[in-house]
Amino acid sequence: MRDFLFEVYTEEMPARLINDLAFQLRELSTKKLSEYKLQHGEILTYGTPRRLVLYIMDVNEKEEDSINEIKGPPHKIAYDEEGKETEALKKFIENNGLTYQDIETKEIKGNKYIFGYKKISGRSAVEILKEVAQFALKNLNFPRGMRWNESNVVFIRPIRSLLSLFGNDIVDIEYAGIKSSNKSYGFYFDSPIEFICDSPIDYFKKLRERYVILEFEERKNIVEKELKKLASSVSGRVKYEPEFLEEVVNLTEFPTPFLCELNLLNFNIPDCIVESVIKDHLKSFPVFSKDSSKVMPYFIGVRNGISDFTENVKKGYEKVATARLYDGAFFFEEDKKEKLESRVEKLKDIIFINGLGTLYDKTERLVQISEFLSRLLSLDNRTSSLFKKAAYLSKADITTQVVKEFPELQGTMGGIYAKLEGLEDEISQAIAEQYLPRFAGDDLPKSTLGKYLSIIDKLDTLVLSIGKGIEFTSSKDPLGLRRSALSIVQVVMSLEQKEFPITKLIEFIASLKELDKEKTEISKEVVNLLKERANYFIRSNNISYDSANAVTELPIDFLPTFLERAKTLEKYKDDEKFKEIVIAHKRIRNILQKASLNSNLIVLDLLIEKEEKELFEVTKESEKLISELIKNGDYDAIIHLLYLYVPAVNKFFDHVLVMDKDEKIRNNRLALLSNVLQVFESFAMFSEVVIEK
Amino acid sequence: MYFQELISKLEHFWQKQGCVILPPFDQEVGAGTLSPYTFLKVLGKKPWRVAYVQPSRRPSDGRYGENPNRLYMHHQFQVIIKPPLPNIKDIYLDSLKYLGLKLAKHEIKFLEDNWETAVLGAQGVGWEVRLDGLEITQFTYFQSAAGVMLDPVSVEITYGLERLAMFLQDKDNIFDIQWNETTTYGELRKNDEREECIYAFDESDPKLLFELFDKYESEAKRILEKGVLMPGYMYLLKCSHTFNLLDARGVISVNERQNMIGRMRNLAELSAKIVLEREG
Repeated sequence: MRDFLFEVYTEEMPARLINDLAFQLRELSTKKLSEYKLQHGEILTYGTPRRLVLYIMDVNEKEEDSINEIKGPPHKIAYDEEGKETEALKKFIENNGLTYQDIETKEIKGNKYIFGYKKISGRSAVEILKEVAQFALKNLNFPRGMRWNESNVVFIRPIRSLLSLFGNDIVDIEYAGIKSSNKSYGFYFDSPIEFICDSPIDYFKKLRERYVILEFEERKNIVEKELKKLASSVSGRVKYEPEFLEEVVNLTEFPTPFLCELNLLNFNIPDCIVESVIKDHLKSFPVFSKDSSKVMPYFIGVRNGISDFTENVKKGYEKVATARLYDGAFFFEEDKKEKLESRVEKLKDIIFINGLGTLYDKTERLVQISEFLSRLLSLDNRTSSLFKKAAYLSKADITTQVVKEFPELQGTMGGIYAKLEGLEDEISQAIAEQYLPRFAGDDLPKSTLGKYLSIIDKLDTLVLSIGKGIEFTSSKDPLGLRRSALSIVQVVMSLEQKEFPITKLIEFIASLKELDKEKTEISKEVVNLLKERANYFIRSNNISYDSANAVTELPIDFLPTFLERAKTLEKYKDDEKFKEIVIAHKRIRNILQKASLNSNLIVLDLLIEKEEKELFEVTKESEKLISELIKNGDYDAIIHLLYLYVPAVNKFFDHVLVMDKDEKIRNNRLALLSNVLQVFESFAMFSEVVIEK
Repeated sequence: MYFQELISKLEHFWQKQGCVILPPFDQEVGAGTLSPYTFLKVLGKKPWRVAYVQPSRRPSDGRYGENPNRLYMHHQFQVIIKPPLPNIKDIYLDSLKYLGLKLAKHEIKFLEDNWETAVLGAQGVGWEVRLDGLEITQFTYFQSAAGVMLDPVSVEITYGLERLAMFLQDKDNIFDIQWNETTTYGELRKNDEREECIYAFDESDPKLLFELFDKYESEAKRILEKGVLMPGYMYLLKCSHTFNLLDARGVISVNERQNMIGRMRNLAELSAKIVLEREG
C-alpha cells in the first residue's frame, strides 16, 4: 500500500472559488475511484491560491481480481447425444478466450446451460490513479475558464506544473500539454525555487518549510485568532461574514494578519464608506468599537507572506486606505451639493435591465405601485405621501459619485443623503433599507416603509424579468431573481399584518408595462416562484416538507403567516386528533373533486337529517371563530377548535348519504361540504400532511 | 527612481525579453489596449512581442488636476507577449525586481480581475496586481478580440506608471512625483490636466462632437470597407475619444450609448476582418 499525491500548480486562482474547487476535486476523485475495485484509504484535498492537491491514502498496488460470468449455449446444444463437445461449444470457448477448465453447467428454471467463468486480473493502481486524476481535472466546474497555451485547454487559471507521486514513484500524467514530475514550488514570492519530493510525506514537509500552509482550516484559524488578538489590543472588535473571511484567507498561502492605523482625522465621512474602502478595496477587516456602534481608526490587513518587514506592507496599506478615503470624502462632499430630487432625471440615462427600460422608468413604476399599495392597505395620507416620496427618490443615489465608486453602498448612501437634506426619517430609513436583506442571514428592513419599499422594488424586478421571459435556474441566475424572491418572502414574513395583497400587486405591476407573456401566465410563474422559495425558507427553519407544503398550497396573500402556521402544524401533527383532521380533509376533497358543483350556496329547507343540520350550524360558527383567531394569530386555538369540529364532520358522514338520489338534496349536501372544506383550508391544506396509519 | 528612469528601466527590461520597443501611438486612446500595437496584433497566429508607453486619456476620470490620485490622462506601460511564455509571471516579477524592489520586503497579491470592452468585443481573464495594497498592474490573458476567439492567446501586462512611481518615490500626490531631478509631474502636467477637464466637462460643444462622431464613423467605415486598415482604424480611435468626451459631458442617453458602442464595435470587427484576411 502506498499514498498517492497529485498537485496541480497554477497561477493565482480566484479566492472565492478555491474551497469549492478543492471540494469538487474530492467528489470527482471519489466518484471515479468507486468505479474500480481498488482498495484505498481516506481521500483528502487541499486548495491554496496556487495549488489544488489530491491526496489518497493507503492505495493498494492493484485492483482486486474478479471473475466474470458469461452465459453460454444450452447444455443440449453444447453436447451431442454421445456427450461430445459440439462446434457451438467450441465457438463459445474460443470467442470468449476461455479453456475447458473455465466452464461449468448450471441449471436455470429446469434447463441446463453452459457458463463460462473468466478471470479478470485487476488493473494496476498506477493506471487507475492516472485516470482518476485526469477525470477530476477535466470535470471540475468553474464559472469562467481561460486558455493560456497551445493546448487550448480551458482551466480556471493557467496550470504551470503537475506533481504526481505514488509512494516514491512518479505517475505519468499529462494534461493541457503539461507532463507530471516530482517537482513542486514553495511560497511564490520569496522561495519560488523548485524542489524535488521523494514521497507524499516529503512533499508536505518541504512545502511547510517553504512557507506554504496547505490546509484552509489551518490558515483560517491563524487569521481568526490574530484578528481577535489585534482588535482587542486597541480595545476593538472585528465582525465579518464567513464568505469574506474565506476569500481573504484564500488570497494567501501563508497568512500574516497585521494592524494598521487609519488616518480619519480630516475626513468627515460616514462609517459605511470607511468599511467599503477597508473591506472591498483592501480585502482587510475594519475594527469596530466594542459595542459595534462605530468604526475605529484601525483596520487589520492579512499579508500573503511571513511577518518579516511587515512594517513596509502596513505602510503601503495605510497609504492606499488614506488615498481611497480622500476620494470617498471628496465624492461625499460633491454629492451633497446636489439634491436627490434633481438626480431622479438622470436615471433616464441608466439601464435597469437590458430590454426593460431605464431606472427612471422603474422609478415611475415604483411611485405608481406605492400609490396602489397605499390604497390597498388604506394607509393614512401622511404615510402614503412619505411612501410615495421614498419610492420616487429610492434610486436617485445610483447617480452619486460615492455609489459609482462603491456600488455596494447603494441604498445606504441614499438614506444618508436623504437625512442630510432634512427629509423625514421614514423616507431616509426606507431608502436605506430597500435592498435588505442583501444576502442570506443579512438584516431585514426594520421600518414599515422600508419593508414595503423592499417588497415592491423586488416584486417589480421579478414580474418584469419573468414577463420578459428571462430564464433562470438555481445554478444560472445572473440577475439574482431567486435571491430576490427569497428576500421578498423573508420581508413579507416579517410584516405585522396577517395578509398582504401580493396577488393584486403582481397583477398591477404586470399591467404597467408591455411584456412578452400573458398576464395570467406571469402571475402564475411569479406566485409559483414565491411559493417555492417560501417552502424552501420554511424547511430551512427545521420544519418538515409536508408541513411546509400544507401552508404553501394556500393563497400567496397569506404569506405573512406561512411560517407561523407551519410551525403550528409541526407542533400538533403527531396528535391522534390531528390525524383525524387530515383524514376528514382528504375525504372531503376527494368527494368534491369527483362531484361537479355549481354553487356552494346552502338551502336551509333542504337540510333534512339532524346531523347535517348540526354540521351546518357548527360550520357557520367555526368559520366566524377561525377568522377571528386568524386575525389574532392564535393558531393553537384554531387547532383545538378543529379538534372539536371534526367529530361533527365525522358524525355527518356516519349518518348522512351525500350522494342522495335527489339531485337537489345531493347538491345541497355537496355545497355544505364545500363550506366545511373552507373551514379547514382557511388555516392549512391539512391533506398535505403525511400521517402514519 | 525618477519617472523618466522608470520608463527607461522598463523599456530596457522588456527589450531584453525580445520585445519591440515602440514610441506611444500618436493618437488619443483610453487605454493601451486600443493602440493598434495591441488590438490589431493580438489577432491571428503571428507571434508578437512589444512594449510601449501609452498616455491614456479617460475624460470622465479627470478632476481638474485637483485630486492627488486621479487623472484625465495617465501613462500606461503596455507589454504584449504572444504566445505567452510559460514563465511569464516570473518574468513580470523580475521586472519589479529590476526596478529595485525587494519582493521579500513587500507583499504581492494577484486579485481576480477580468475585463471586457464592448467597443472592441474583447475579453480577458486575469488579475490586478497589488503591491503592499496598491494596484500597480493589470495582468491579463487576452481571450477574444472583435468577438473572435484568439489562438494563440496573448498576455497583456499593463503597468500604471504613476502608481508605481508614487510607490517608488514614496509620494502621496501624483503631482509631487519627480519626473527627473529638477522637474515634477505637476509642473509638466497639472495645467494641461486642468484645461483638458475644463474642455471635457464644461466647454466642449456636444453638438459638434456628435457630428464629428458621425463623420469619423462614416469615414472609418468607408475606408475599412475598401480594405485599407490603418487609416480606417485611426478613425475608429477618433470615434472612441469623441465618445469618451461626450460621456464625460454627460450627454449620452442610454439608447444612444448602446447605439454608439454598437457602431464602434462594428468598425472594430471590420478592422479585425482585414487583419485576419491578410494573414490568410
